[in-house]
Amino acid sequence: MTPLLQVTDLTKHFPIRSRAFRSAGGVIKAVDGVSFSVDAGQTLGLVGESGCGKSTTGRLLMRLLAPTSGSIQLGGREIAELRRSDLQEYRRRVQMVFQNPSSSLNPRQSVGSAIAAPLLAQRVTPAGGVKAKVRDLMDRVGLRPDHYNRFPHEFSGGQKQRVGIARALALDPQLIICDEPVSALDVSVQAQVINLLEDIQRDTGVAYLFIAHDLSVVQHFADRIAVMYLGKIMEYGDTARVFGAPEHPYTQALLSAVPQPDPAADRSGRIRLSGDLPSPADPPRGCVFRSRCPVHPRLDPQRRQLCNDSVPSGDIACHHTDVAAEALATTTR
Amino acid sequence: MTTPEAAPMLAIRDLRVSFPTDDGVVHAVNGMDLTLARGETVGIVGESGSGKTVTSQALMGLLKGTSATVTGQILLDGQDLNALTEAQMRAHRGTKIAMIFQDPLSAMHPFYPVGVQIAEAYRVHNDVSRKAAAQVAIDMLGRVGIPDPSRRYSAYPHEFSGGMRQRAMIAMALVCEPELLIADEPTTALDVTVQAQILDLLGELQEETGASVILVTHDLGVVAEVCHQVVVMYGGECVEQATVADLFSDPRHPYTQGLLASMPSLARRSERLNPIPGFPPSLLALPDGCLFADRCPKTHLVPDNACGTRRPTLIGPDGHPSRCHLEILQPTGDVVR
Repeated sequence: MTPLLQVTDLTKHFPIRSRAFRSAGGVIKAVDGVSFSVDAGQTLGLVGESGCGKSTTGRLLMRLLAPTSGSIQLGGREIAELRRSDLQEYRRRVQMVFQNPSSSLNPRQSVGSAIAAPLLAQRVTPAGGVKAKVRDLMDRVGLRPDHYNRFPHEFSGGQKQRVGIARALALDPQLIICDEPVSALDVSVQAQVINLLEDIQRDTGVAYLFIAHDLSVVQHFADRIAVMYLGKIMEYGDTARVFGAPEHPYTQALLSAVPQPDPAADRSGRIRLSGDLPSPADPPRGCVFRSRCPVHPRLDPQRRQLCNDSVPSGDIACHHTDVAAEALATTTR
Repeated sequence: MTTPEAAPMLAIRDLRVSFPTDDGVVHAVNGMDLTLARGETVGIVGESGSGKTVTSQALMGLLKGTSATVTGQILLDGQDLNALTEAQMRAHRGTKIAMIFQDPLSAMHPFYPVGVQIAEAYRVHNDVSRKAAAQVAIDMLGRVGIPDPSRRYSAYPHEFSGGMRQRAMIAMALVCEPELLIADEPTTALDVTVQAQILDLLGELQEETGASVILVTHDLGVVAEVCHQVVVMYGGECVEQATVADLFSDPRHPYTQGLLASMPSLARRSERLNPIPGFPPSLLALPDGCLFADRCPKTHLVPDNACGTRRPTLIGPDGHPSRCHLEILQPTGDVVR
């Protein structure tokens, strides 16, 4: 079975125009050779820290940005090179939910007309009319019919995000790109929205690309996971495998840095990363993670040289997963 | 961790804060009680609008001279900070009580080098030359783990990364060795790997200086990692106070229970999350009864609709009170789950 979405070697380079960064070599490699696939009705979690390129990837898939190179195929059809006129049809099948519901809704547009906007833009006339469809969508996301003529400021953050979800559902898309859909919400409301997204998937069979930095949310939600760092995928695999037995040192460190809501949890095996994310304008040569890698300094010089010289590839982008596993075993002992 | 001494260093008694607005009076804090021993860390948790940030602003005296009405007592070493004038409070800020803000980029002055801002904080309280203060600032930058501190002294806030800026913010807050440090969401804007570094740093510095810390956060994971005591806030009230171990093993207030149940956790992957239905109350028109009543799954256990008509008080076992009518019904501590 061909996957619904197949992304191959997707790359986006932003040219640097400011004088201050001239020495850096000219481009920021926001997304650099990323490959993954999403099956129909499934959820792929895209996780990573800020600046790792996860949101840029989402925008590329939505074709809000044009990729520098690489291929994006939806249902076997190449869309990376689609022209503006052909994008209209594509966007009927792929929709997006944005992080901040307050800034992604027009404050002067009523909620009902915001949800109707995609239908009107695509000149879709659903059976029973636009208004009936909007009321149906509002009902599906848990908004009351009398909310139709209200304005965004009258809603709480969670309700506004429901409007964003209803709008994304309006065209019955096959794929919804959710860019940090619950990050701006409080925990108790966050759980409401996550459950809603799960119900919608069960009922409609829509696939999600779920972009988030909160690992526990992604673990709960995703079937498969791609961990990004500096524009590249570090580890890619089934959620249970990646969380249960992470093989890449970055995934291991990321997971162990998540504060556990359990005061009795064993924290002795915690892996601490030193330093900050390197500048994406000037990433380390070879393996991009080597400047912060806890395994790198423990390697013998010859193997260390390999990290400096060659870019690791594959689902676990690390040259030395054998040492990483060993290192993890000794720290968690 | 340092062993907390017995005498409370900070005691907050029935703190209330309200703001007049065009829409009416907003009751942001409606009865906050807290005691904190020397060297101890207390976490204030709650969702947005629960009054945790306003509480910390009131502690710092930042609401003096604004339209806010602040009542109640804030006793720091026996002295009521709420009764001080702004001029008296200034002498305390920095030396006795200091604050780390959530977003260091907006808390720092963008036109002055980071080191100069730290040195300035030192010179306000200490009669030293600029040069000596600069040296203190450089030492402080080194202590918070900023590499090459003498060079970074003259860097501007925008030249620092998020994690480095938060380190500099901590340096600024600690340069006068305050006894009480208020950290308002200090790691919320940071990535998890950097958050872990900053929490470690705060712990180390606390051990070195023996300061008490109030950590304001919405993240129960962070609380479990670093705090001794926890205060849970809802609708501007303290609804539960407990040691960290007790709060997580035996949450008493239905809101705390709901909060813990609604969190996805790495440790347990549940099939379905259990959200708390509904939304927090409007602070413009607080109900007469319990503020959590319309979202609470246990109101039917309390007779006479008490939850809807009477506001519960903070009662229960010593060291673990909660603001719930069920506490009166079951004084033995067996709250029906």
